[in-house]
Amino acid sequence: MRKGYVLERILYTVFIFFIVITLNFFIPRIGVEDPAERYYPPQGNLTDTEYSIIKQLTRKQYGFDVSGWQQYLRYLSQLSRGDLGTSLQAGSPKVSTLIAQRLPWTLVLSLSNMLISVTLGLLLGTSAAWNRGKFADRALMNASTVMTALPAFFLALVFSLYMGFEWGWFPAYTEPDMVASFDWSWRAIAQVARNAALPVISMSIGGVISYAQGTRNSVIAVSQEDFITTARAKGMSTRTVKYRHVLRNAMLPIVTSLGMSVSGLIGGSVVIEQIFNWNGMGTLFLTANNTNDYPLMMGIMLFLSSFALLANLVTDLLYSLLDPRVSAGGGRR
Amino acid sequence: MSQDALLLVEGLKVIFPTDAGIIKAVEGIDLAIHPGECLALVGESGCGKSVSSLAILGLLGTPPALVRAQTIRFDGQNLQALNEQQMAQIRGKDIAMIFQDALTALNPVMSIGRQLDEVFLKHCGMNKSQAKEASIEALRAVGVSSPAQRYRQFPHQLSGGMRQRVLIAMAFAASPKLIIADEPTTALDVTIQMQVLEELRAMQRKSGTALMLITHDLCVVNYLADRILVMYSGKIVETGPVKQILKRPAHPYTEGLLTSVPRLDTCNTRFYQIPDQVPNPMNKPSGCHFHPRCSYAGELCKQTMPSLRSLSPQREVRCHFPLQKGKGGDSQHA
Amino acid sequence: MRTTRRKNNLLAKIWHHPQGQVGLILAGLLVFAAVAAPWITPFDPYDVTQRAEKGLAPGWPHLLGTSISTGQDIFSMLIYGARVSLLVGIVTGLAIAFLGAFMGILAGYGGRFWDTLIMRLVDVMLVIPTLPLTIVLTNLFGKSYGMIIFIFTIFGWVGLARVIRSQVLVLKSSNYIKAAQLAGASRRYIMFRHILPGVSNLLIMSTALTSAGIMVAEAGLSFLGLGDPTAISWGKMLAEAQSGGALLFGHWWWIIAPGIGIFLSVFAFMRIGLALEEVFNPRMKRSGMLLRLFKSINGSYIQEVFDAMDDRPETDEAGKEAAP
Repeated sequence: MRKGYVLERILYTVFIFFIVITLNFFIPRIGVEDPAERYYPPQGNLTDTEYSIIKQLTRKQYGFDVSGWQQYLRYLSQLSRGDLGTSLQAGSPKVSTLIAQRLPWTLVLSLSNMLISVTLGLLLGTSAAWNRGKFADRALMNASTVMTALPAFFLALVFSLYMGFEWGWFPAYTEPDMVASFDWSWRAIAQVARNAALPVISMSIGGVISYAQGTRNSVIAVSQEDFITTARAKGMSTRTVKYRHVLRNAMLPIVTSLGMSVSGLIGGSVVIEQIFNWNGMGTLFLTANNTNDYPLMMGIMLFLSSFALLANLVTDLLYSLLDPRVSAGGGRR
Repeated sequence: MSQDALLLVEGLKVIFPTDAGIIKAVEGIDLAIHPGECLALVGESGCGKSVSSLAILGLLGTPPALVRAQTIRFDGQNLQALNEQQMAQIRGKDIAMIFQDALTALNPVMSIGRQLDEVFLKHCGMNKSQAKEASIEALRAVGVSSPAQRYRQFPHQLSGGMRQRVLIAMAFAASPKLIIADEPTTALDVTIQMQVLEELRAMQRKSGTALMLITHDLCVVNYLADRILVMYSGKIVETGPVKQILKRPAHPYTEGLLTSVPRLDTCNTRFYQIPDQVPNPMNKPSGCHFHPRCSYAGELCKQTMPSLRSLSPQREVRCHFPLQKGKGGDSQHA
Repeated sequence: MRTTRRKNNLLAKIWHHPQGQVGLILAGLLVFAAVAAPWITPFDPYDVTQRAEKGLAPGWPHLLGTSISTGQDIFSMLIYGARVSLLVGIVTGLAIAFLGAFMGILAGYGGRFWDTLIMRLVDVMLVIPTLPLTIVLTNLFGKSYGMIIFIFTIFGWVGLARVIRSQVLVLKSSNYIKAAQLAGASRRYIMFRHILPGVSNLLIMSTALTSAGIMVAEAGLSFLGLGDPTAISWGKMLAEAQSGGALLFGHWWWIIAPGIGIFLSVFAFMRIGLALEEVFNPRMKRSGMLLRLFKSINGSYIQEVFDAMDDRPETDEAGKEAAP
């Protein structure tokens, strides 16, 4: 019964993956007659005939000289070897190499953000739910309405201005030697922490509020269910009821949102990285955009989509472990 | 008579304040249950019977409810004087409850076995393996097939009838002195109802547990109960032994309930229904709450709420013009 | 005709809801500011001849100072910025409402084929990272707010469609739909005359909340420079502030002003949306209200209520008319 569910999810994920790959292939080709035109260098002083030769060579170099179908098949075989393409940057580095360089740095921010958001959010949310109407609850409701209307990047700018420039608590721009001089020493780790502070704080304020609100609502909803009355009628202590019965059920929707936010883990910090000049995937993508480096952009897109797919799969499977109603037939839809 | 009562409740009142008004759910009821007895609390939905049982066990939170009672005494103990921890000791162990809808009454993410084990672990001082044995045995005792397999399953994997049996097993687990069963068979198929009822009756007889049966189904009452309390709109309107009341009801409401039970032995062309609807709990009729629907109502009924009076040593009725005169003594009519 | 009467009642209800009132007033002010911008701003930020000294602090006549980079009046830019936010937010909100409702109803009621197709589409779209894709698309097809509205709509309908579909599934099993089916109503008829009104509450509420969310997203995109480069928007103001050195020189007003603009517009629409939610679902009293109600209850009144339930001692006696 469970094995069937796992298999079904995996197959489905593979299916969606193929659709995503195909989309990724087609998007840069939409609406342009000659998809290679973005790769051509500027004409400059070349004559038309000379330029057309250059164009032909460019097409050949980037594989546009074969038919559409063949391009697609080549693309697939390339992907199957783990090759996400070659960047147009100087030195033609592989997209996968560039991603591998920048990914850990983005993860530093995202994972810290997630950790703080989830733990603080859960604590605040449960405390608000169990103290309904009192200070903790009202404070959360008010904070929630305010914080959802303030975008994280605005907070980032404000923090950058005050905590960074005015008061000098943390660096407002990432120290340029942070990446190059990283050597796993305590000094280096402290440096990373110092630089990551402002970005992480900006992102996690919204995250904490969001998880807290979700947890609170979930706990309140579950507390009103019939089986909680049954548990109390059985004589279970308030503590048992709260933790073993209420929380265990209330956590289910939280796991779902956790899973969904994991998919946005990497792509979501683009703006924040830009503000603080953080050396991660976000800035890589923005640079690619500014230099019209299409292979790099599409390679990153594919990577992000695949990551999101994988995260969804893992979340689904994890959820099915927690909620017995799922694996015995019928998904969460 | 109330001296040897297992559970004695006097003057129980429950209200729910809202900003639209005050909901008067229970308006001062008395009840007494003796060891081994089966008492049925009968009435339509919304008359306050479920609320009463929750109030007795202290399961109504203070928002949203306000509870007052002159006496709530169980086995000599004043339940109102106990704190939450002490009440938790009594719940499940001395007084247990069976709820109506077994699917929502069971924790969906916990196996049946664990939910049963909980009771044994907490109230019977067993360790894990003992509790497991006891749970499987309890499942077998209520007639659940392949109990060892069911032990590991989850509520959604069982049929409605089996789930109800699990609730029954949970209630009887710690051998309580009193079980309150709130509509235990209402959510079941008619075909299953009988089986579950038989199970319930057998277990009650065997263990000598007192049973407070809350229901609107008079057939169930007839099958299981010794005494009956009829409730209407928050008040008790008739009490007495089941056989007497079902044969010769004294309150017009009880008569209405009996008449509306469809019969197979007479050729009626239509079903009888008590006219109109149950009163809005925020806005009850003046005087006797039942008068708008009562075919015997008089002027007095619109003005004054009748008191609960004895009709005989075993029967009481709350009516200005009861349908039975009672065996001598307190007759209302010349 | 039926729907306009409904809308009038709806507006009245939101107005009477305390928080809804705040939302409506704020939204009204913002719309006014956006529409009347050319007349109410002291300076025209588009007019190059009206540039003043660069980097002025707030004072007179530049209430919020001037930008460091170009010397434009920040207050005027703030007013003009409302145009983009409100336009993008509301138009996208409506577009998403239409598309989401259409897809949701089709998926929920149109049969298994459409349901499967649409749900697969939803799964694919959920996986694609929206911000990077927006960046790619604006790169490929040009930067404009029309493009942004388009992209938001293409991605935004997904969440709404799922919610609408769930609601449709609930409605599908309700008795009055079954009755209509039995009466021989065509699928299309049922979809328009029964299902659509059934989800209209949800739709209206979602539109308000979605618009609020879109405004936040638009600010982010404008900040990254993906919107129309010639238009003034709050996000763009923040970007200019950052690149123009507001952080460096501590010109906090240049940063705070557009931030407050974003905050107010999002807050207004969220308030309206939440007020709508409470108007449509009065089920759960907000926790604070219930507790306050209990605290404010008059103890002696409650005692009276309880006492009134007791049986009176017998005053009337036998001798009344016998029952008929």
